[in-house]
Amino acid sequence: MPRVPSLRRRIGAGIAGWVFTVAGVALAVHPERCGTPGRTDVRVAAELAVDWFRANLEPDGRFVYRWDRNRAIVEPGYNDVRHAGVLLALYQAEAAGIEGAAEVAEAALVHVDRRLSDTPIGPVFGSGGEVATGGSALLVAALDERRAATGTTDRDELLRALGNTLVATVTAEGAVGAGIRLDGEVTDTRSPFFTGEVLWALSRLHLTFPDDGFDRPALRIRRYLVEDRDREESPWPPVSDHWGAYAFETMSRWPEPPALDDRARDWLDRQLALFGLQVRYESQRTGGITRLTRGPNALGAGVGTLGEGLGNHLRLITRTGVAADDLDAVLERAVCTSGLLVDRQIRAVDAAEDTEPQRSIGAWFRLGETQMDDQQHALSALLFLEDWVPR
Amino acid sequence: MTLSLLILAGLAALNPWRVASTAPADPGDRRAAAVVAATVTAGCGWLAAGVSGPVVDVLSVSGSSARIAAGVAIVLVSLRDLVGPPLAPMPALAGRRAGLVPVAFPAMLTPAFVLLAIAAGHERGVATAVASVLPAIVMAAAAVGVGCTGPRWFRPLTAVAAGGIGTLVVLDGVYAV
Repeated sequence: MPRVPSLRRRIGAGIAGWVFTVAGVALAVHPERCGTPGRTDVRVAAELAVDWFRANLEPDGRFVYRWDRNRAIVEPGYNDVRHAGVLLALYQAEAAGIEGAAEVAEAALVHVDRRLSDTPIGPVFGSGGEVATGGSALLVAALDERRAATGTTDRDELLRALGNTLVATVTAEGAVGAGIRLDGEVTDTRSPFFTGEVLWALSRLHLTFPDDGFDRPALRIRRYLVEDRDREESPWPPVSDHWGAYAFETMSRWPEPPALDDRARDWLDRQLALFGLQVRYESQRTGGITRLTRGPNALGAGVGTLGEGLGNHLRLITRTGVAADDLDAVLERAVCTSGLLVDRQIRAVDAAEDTEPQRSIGAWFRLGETQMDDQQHALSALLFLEDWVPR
Repeated sequence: MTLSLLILAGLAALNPWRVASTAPADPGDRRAAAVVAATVTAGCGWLAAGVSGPVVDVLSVSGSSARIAAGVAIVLVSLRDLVGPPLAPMPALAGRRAGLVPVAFPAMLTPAFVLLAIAAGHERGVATAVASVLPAIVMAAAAVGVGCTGPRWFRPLTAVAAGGIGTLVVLDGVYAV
């Protein structure tokens, strides 16, 4: 019976082919571990993040910018754009009912007042001879959020003035100059994030001050963002624009929201794909061998921006019905993002051995370091995603 | 994944010209083996699509990643078709049982076909998944039934085309939400 061993070999070779192919597939696709947080877990994580800001607020109104947990040192440096972003997250937390968040933010406004400068085109926020446009844009968002969260209108004049400064940074095509010199000149440089930030700031201002004409420059930026930005600025890898997501969500609440035409829909589809891909990739980082195939976990800020983008797009989809076919998948990725954030946050029990546990509790670390914007973006994301997580 | 890409992916996963190279020499055995192989393959496809939900859950992968997995498997199987020796009709089980070995296995029931059935079943449901791979099963069975392997250059050509379709399936999964 010489044929039997040959047949066995053939079947064995077939099985070996299966094993090799499946192994190859397993290298490309890993399990996605998202955790299964409840709504309470998400709320507790957000409160812990606010606690981190409270514990890491310096007397001069700044926060601990970067903390190296392994060496137990505060690393030097500061970033005013991110300071404004932290204020925004704290006022968002206050608006979401986390007590004491606004109190921390108010104390941090001292640093803002110290870093406001007058230029011929209006006030700007930042330091140095050329300030980042995004700092003023995020300050507008933060102060407008403060207005909504606390009901105070004492900075309305500043809000309007900052808005007019931002309008001066918008070109005829709708691009946004990334820097403002103190002599009032707007630089011809671009930033992958400032376009969305300025768009969102002006969109918010149009809701707050509907008669001030902030809608026209906002619509100009919106057209540039969906039609020209990727081609003109060629960001690589393509940018998942959470600030753009904020802006689209805000514009959908305008009394006369702009139409979601084919080009806007195309941009939205591309954005949803980018956010979805990144969440799936991130959720495959589960330690062990995935450190070789996927690398270490992303920054807390990175995961947070995914949550912010998805949270805003979820609101947009449910409000307008656009991209409704993607709703289930977007929801799945959003809940996954909240799970990643809850799982990766440092709790008191994790920091029991730390020399300065207040630097770690409530924070998100990557390779032993955390930066204040890790907590900022993660906090904003958790607040956006809370309502979508099952109870 | 659009329905047209799914049908093309079925053809790429099964590659009738690869399968045809395993056809028995005897015309009677060829036809019988083709029927057996088509029936077994369709049954396995139906089963894979039917259990796709639990399988995807157990493996903790999203539908989008399942599509990437199917695409990668198609690319790998087509690479094997391109650089490896063609599948041979022998050794084989006797008579119509040649439809089981080697026509159904290893020629038709590849990881590419099973993973595609799982991905399609998860995304579109069992009926659509089976219906969309059915043309490929029928074509493969027909190729076996008539013993049509085509000219010599056809094998690398179809392998390259299958690899291209597999790449499209991967990209479809990558760019899905």
